[in-house]
This record gives sequence, structure tokens and C-alpha cells, in this order.
Amino acid sequence: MFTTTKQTKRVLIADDDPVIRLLITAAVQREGCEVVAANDGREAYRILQTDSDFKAAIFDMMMPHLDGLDIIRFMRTEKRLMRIPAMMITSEQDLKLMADTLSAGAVLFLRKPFTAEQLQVMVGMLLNKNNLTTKAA
Amino acid sequence: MFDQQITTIENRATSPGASVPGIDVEIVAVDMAVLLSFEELQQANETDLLVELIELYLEDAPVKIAALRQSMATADIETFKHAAHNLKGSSGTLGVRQLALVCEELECLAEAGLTPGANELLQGLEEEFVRVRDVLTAEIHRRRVTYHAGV
Repeated sequence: MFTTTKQTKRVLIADDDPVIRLLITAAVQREGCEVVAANDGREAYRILQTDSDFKAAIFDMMMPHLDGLDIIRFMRTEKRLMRIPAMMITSEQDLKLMADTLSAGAVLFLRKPFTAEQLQVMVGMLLNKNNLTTKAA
Repeated sequence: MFDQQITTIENRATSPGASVPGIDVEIVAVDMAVLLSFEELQQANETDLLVELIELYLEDAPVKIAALRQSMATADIETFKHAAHNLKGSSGTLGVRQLALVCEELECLAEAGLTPGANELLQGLEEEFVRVRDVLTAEIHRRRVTYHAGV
């Protein structure tokens, strides 16, 4: 089992769309971080069961087996995962869903389609802003 | 040469007269400005991210379109909705606007239980993908030629 380290540069990304996953991966790597990628929600859940050594997590809202909201809710029930700030990506336009996601513990929300600039700004905020980590903890 | 090829393909893609169900041929197949904006994410000494993205999209989109066709045949609304939703997200993000719009319509139709119009719209999406593939393939060629010319 991995242990949590303050200096970790690992970021968990879960998205069943390979194109979006590649874009997020590129943005995260540009920030000097290492990506741990999951192809769907269930794979992300399995990773999180034994590994909490992540600086941040990025999930797609709608994934097979387990969606992003389910994973964030799970993370907020586990003490070892609570401190990990999570960002949700979605093309949903439902404001209630957005509110539910933030209530569940997501700290950032990125709407698809997104631009390269929007992606970089949001990933930068997720990875570099200490107040987001504090809020999530 | 490849610049000319792209112009020809884009012109054909936007020329009026073609009749494709659910498709507005006045809308460009791929908004290249949106697609090329992702060059910002390119890292030095790494493989061309844009080529990687395009190849991944051209590999993945037919799988999703096949899933749409298959789930329509079996009236599997959840799978249909998910495939339409997924393809809408990647297409819209890469600037494949018309295809993303059709996916959005298909997703809405799935909410209503897949009305007969969905079949015509899906046919339109399949034909639109051919337009998109032409433009994106030309862009891959252009980038490879530019890369080799620069080496």
C-alpha cells in the first residue's frame, strides 16, 4: 500500500474518453506532475482503495460502473483520501448536478467543451493553490 | 501542396448542395483554431500531441458511432445515450462542432426514448464523420510534412 507524502506529484485521472484523458494528462504533465490514469470509475475506485498518495484527482462526471460523483463521495468518507482535492469534468448543464458535486466535496468544476486555456488554468489552480487543498481537507 | 489539399477539403466540407440528414453543411467540419489551440499543451522533445490527439479521436469515434448503431438496433437507450454523450464531449472539445451538435441532438432523442428521427440523424452523423476524417487526416499529413521539412 502507498503512503501519503506531502511532496507527492502524482495525480489520479479517471475518464472513459481517451481523447479527454490525453488532454488532461498533457495539462497535468506540463505542471510537472505524474499521471495515474484510470479508464473508468471502477478502476479509479480500485486504485483509491490501496493508494492515497495523490496530490489531486480529476474525474469525469459520467463514467461506466461508477461515476465521478460516487468516487468523490467515497473519497470524502475515507480519512486517508479526504485531503486530496478533486476536480470534476462534465458536459452536463444541470445546475443541481453541479451543486451536488460541489456539496459532495469537489473543489473545481470544468465544463466540456473546454479550451486549452481553460484546462490549463483549472489544472493549475487544482495543483498549485494551497487553499484548495485546505478546503478539501 | 498539403495546404492546398486542406483548403480543398475544407471547401468541400462547407460547400452547399450536399444533402446530409441532420447536418448543416454551412458549418465547418472542424474548427481548426480550436483544435490547434491545444498545441499550447505540447511539451518539448515529446511526440506531436496534436497528431496523437487526432489519431486517438479517429480511432475512438468510429467505435462510439458503432456503439450508437448497435445500441439503436437493440433499443439499449442507456448505452446509446452514453455513447452520444461521450462523443459529444470529445468532438466539441477538439472543435468538431457539427458532429458534436448532432451528438447533442441524439442524446436528447435518447432521453425521449429514441424516436424514428434518430435513425436519420445517426445516418447524418456517420456521413459527417467522413467529412471530419478527411479534414483531420489532411492535418496529420500537413504536420508530418512540416515536421520532416524542419528536420
